[in-house]
Amino acid sequence: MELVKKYVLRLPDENVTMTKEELVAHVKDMLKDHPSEYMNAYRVWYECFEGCGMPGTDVYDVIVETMRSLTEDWKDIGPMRWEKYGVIDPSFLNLHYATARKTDEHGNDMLQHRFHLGKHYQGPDGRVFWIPVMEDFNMRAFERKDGKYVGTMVEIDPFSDYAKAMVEVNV
Amino acid sequence: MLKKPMKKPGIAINSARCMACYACFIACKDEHCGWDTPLSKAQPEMGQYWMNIVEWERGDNPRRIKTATVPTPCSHCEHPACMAAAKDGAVYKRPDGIVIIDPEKSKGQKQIVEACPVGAVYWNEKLEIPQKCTMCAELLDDPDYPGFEPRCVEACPNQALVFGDLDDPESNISKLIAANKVTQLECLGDMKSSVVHLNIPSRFLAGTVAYPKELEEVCIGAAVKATLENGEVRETVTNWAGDWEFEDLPKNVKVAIDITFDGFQPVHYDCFTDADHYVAITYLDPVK
Amino acid sequence: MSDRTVLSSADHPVEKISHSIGVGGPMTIHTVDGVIRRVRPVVFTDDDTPGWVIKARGKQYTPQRKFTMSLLGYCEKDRTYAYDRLKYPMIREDFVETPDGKNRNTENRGKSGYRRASWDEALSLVAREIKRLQKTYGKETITACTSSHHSWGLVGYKISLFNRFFSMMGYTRIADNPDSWEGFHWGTPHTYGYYWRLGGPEPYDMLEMAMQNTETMLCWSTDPDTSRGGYSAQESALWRWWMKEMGIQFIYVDPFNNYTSVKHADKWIGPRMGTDAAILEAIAYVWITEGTYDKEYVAQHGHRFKEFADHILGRGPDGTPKTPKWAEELSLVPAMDIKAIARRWASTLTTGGSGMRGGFGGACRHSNGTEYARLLFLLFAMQGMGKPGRAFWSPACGGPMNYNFWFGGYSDPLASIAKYPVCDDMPVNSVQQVLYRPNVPDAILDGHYEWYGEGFCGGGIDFEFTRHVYPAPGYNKVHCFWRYGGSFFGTMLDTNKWAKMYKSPELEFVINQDIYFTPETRHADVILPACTNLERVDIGEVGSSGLGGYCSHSESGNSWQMIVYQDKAIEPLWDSRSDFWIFSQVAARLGWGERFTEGRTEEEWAKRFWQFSDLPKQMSWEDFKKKGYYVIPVAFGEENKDPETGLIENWDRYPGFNWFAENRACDTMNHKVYQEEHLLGTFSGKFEFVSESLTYWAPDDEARRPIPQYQDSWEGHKSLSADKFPYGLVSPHPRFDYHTHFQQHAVWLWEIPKNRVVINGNPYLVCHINHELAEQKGIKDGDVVRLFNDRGSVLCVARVTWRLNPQTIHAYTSSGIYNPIKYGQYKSWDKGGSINLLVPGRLIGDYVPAMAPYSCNIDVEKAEPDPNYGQGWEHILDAVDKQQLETERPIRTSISADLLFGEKEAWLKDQKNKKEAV
Repeated sequence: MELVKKYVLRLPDENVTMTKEELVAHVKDMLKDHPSEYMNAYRVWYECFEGCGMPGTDVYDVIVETMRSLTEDWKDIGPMRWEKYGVIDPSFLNLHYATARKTDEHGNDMLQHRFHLGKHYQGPDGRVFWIPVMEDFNMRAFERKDGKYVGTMVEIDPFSDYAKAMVEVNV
Repeated sequence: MLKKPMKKPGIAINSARCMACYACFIACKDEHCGWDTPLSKAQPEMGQYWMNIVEWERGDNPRRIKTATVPTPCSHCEHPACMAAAKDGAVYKRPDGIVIIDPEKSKGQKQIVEACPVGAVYWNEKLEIPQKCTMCAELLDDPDYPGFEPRCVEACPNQALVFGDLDDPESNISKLIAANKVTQLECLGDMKSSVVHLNIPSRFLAGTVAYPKELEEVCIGAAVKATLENGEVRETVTNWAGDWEFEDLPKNVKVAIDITFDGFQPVHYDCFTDADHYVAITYLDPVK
Repeated sequence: MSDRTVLSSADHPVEKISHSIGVGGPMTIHTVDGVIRRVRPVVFTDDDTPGWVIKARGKQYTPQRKFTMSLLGYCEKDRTYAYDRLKYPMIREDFVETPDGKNRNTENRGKSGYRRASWDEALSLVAREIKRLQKTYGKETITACTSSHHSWGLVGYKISLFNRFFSMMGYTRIADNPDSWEGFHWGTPHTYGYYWRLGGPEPYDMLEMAMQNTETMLCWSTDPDTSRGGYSAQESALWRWWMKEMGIQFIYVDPFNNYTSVKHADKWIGPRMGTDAAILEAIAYVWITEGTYDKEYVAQHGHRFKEFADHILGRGPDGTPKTPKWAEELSLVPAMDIKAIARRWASTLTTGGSGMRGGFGGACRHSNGTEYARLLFLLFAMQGMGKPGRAFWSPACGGPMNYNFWFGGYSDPLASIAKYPVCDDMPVNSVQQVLYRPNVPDAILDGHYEWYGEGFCGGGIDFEFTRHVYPAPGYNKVHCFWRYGGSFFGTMLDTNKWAKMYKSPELEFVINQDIYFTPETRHADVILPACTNLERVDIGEVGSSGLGGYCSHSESGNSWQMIVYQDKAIEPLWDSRSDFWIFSQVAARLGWGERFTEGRTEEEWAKRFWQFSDLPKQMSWEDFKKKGYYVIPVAFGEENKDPETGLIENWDRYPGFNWFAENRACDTMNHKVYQEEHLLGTFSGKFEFVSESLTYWAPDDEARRPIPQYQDSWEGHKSLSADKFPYGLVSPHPRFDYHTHFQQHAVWLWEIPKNRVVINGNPYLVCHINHELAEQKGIKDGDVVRLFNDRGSVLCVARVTWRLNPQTIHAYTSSGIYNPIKYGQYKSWDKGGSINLLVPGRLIGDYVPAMAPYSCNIDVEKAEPDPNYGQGWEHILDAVDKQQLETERPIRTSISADLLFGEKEAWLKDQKNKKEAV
């Protein structure tokens, strides 16, 4: 009788059984060179594995444990809210995010991977901008001065030198 | 005289495009209810429809229903019946063809209302005068008014109403009339008028062809032939839904419908275009 | 009004031309001698931008050089001078300002008369009561609610102005339910994501896509000529003619052969109420058994399709194959027609959607509505949704747009005087307690209510499942209702309950701030007369609800994007004032007037919207005010114009959902970051044929199953109530109104024979009944009939037609008129046409707090019109008119609702003759 714990992945076409080593390797494989900034176990289960139904708690635990072990690539930032799942879940920050690819497989730009929508940024000239609108073609910003929003709506070219030099700030 | 002069201003009304959205109906009221103009007295708040929408439902079976919607203002006839019935020059025709009822001279002349075969003249109880559409001539005469079309035409979102010079063959209205079927209102017979009705529908016959009932399948590509009383023949085939239709048939004629499809017995119907009819769902029987 | 002064334009030239916006479109207003003379459409001049040109199938298409208005736009003058305008503040005759809020004769609300009051008296009373109520019970004891959309403009209306005042004061917010699109909002996020778009699809650039590619247009539960893309007037009417005339086949599915389908449909089918999901399942059955769906797309973009296919084939737990025959038995649509449609859909490039913007339509406002919506998306996914010609789209939105020109819309978080950047001091509502709009009467009357969800759940999938209790822990109950614009009798559920609620002593104080003496206004203690937006200054964009607000980019239903300086055409009539003035006055009396106005006038606030937009780059404020409007070019630059015609042919296109079909990073507006990794907003990032979010959040949800499917309705043809009330009521959005905002006021609408028929001075609503049913019931065209069930009775005028099948009766919802024959009597018969008295108050499900008015069983019988003359409340206004009061402005003396000259005299004569004959 084999006394090795098996992990069951319920997938659309069939159920797949893995040992812990196989599962850990599978998780690492899915996370390699991932373009996202944040990850959690649900993304791995549902998006990467295409898991059906809720992940078993044992599978879930192995995913989280594996992500915690990848200290060179992912930083454990604790619980964070995921609006797509509606849960607050242990989450991980992509340490390679700055250099991860910013285009899709066909070379199309991923603008929201370059800047955070709705956040404030400070330009090299010291001006602070709030960026509430970000679409494929442009970023729209309001300048913040003395605690108020002033001037007209400004367009910032996301590929300009100015934009590349902007740093995110908290106000 | 119109500030942008035309020999013969007219309105083309295309029933094929009208959606009965009632924008023209309301725009006319907006212009004339409660306001006197140089050519007319105020229309009362309710009760008159200088731009009337005549609607009727076509068909006798839910499987094929259409509606005819015909915006019907005064036709501004070449030989207006209202003018013939009026006394003391109470109704006059301008050199450009627009027909106007004089609100002063027409007082008490109820017979002008009854004379109109279209029913486009209304009686104002309070003022005791007949009233009707002016083709917004008072606006279009006015050099200070910024628009160039009657209110109803300006309001139409479907380009179902078009205004222009009927005497100019290059005008949009003339081109539209040339490209479409002129259908004068039945009550006006062969009267010519400055309001030209296009594409008022006449009659349709429609139906569906299906395979034997237990198969629950429509029959696509069945040949359907209509032979009219006068010998005219029209042919079609059933479409992706198994439906067939003949539109614009003359009214009150006999039409023989013959349906044929390879491998199945032909079917014959004797129809009469007293109204728009959905003839039948024809369930074919296989050839023995 | 038959005694309205007759005005002459003979010697009185137009002295002022101004502009404004309404739900009927933008208007050019001509004023003569301080009186509005006419309302015309905006006809563009040579210095306005050229339009766009779509090149399709060898031809070129461009819109007319004007912005169309719907019939409602042309009613705006009539509506401004309406007989039922509120002229001055009023206080209920038998209202008593008792110190403890009790014994105020609340049981008489709805039938009491009113007395005229000065603004000072009315506003002081409001301020005193607010202070008393807040002191006694806390800020949460005041609740307030708006309507959609009795007014227009970014300063003086709804989400902007109303929000600022009530957030600043602190109040129990009433969470709106997504009334017009319930099934999509609560359903489709669980199937394909887009919870932040409240379930709605991407319409971007779909008109051009369809004109170039589409072969079949599938219009499910859609009447685009009637629902007008929302507030896009009749702009899209021409688009549909272009499409029709190029030979595209139109299929319409609607229990009523509606006003668009009867003109455009090549095929109309009229299913029994609530059976749309069954037909969709049967279509899937045909595709699966015949192998005619996009297998590659489904394999790549679909999640757990096999389980769905098993369910459809009858291999699932219920063992029922979803055959066309099975669907025929439920829907009464012949199986052969279902198969023909399925094959046409699969074998041609088919585009389609539901309702006015694709994710709407009455079929989703039904107990099975979420499943219908989810199935519709899954079927489009089975045919490669997002590929050219295979889009999810209704033909009343998605016109060419300049997405890169920024101006706010009414629900835009950036375009509100209650939010940054427009205001400097952003108020935050200090009260956490919330009420839920469909069941406000239940909460007030029962003193307790529980529900799930935030109403509008754009913040995340969990927002649907937040649990709410009223009263919230630690909070007191609501004892004051401040109602703002519109009438819920015509639009909410089981609305006899609203009448009952108003009479309850639980509501110690009721304020109504409106333009007209609407059905709800008549239930107030204090009435504050507001003016229309033709009488105040504002600014807005036509048809726009904003970017990032709900229903993003609604202005794509227009052929033109237009920003309007809404100048005051005339001074506020009688003693009415702008809503901004009213709120400022109350704020001042409560001690925070300066904070509320930030020292700005309405015009100064309007200028801030201009300032924060892209408009200053094109037009100075002075030039903008002078011209009155600005038309946004779909693209700037001469190089983008066709050199021959001067029309704009190059602009940046972002075809809706095309990115997903082509596995590209999402490039459409208003998307989430993970969509750039071409993942959808579902758990798996794909179309979920079995929903993971429902499996996780609501595994025991009876209304929404992991696999969407047809279910018998709790009020449908198989319910017990069908024995007593055998017919289904279909009650879509009205053709001759925009919600409730014109019917009672613009009397010209009463003269449209398909809308209303005036009998004895009361405008009865038209209902449609099938010929066979009418014959069975002895009903002739034009007869008065009673539509009824256990909840209420409504008297209507019958139109006998073949445009529906015998099991369905049609009457429009959203009646702005509610005229109970016996005022004050609970469940009195209504002759105003408020069909919503008949619809159930039950929400779709325990976890789906959505309205389901399409699940409604009724019966019909011939009836007599009410013998009393008039609508039943004219005497209230007449009595107030006769009261004399010292005010600063001259007041017009008595009006009579005697609208048809001579009709009342004839009726009186008739009554006299009848008496004498006896």
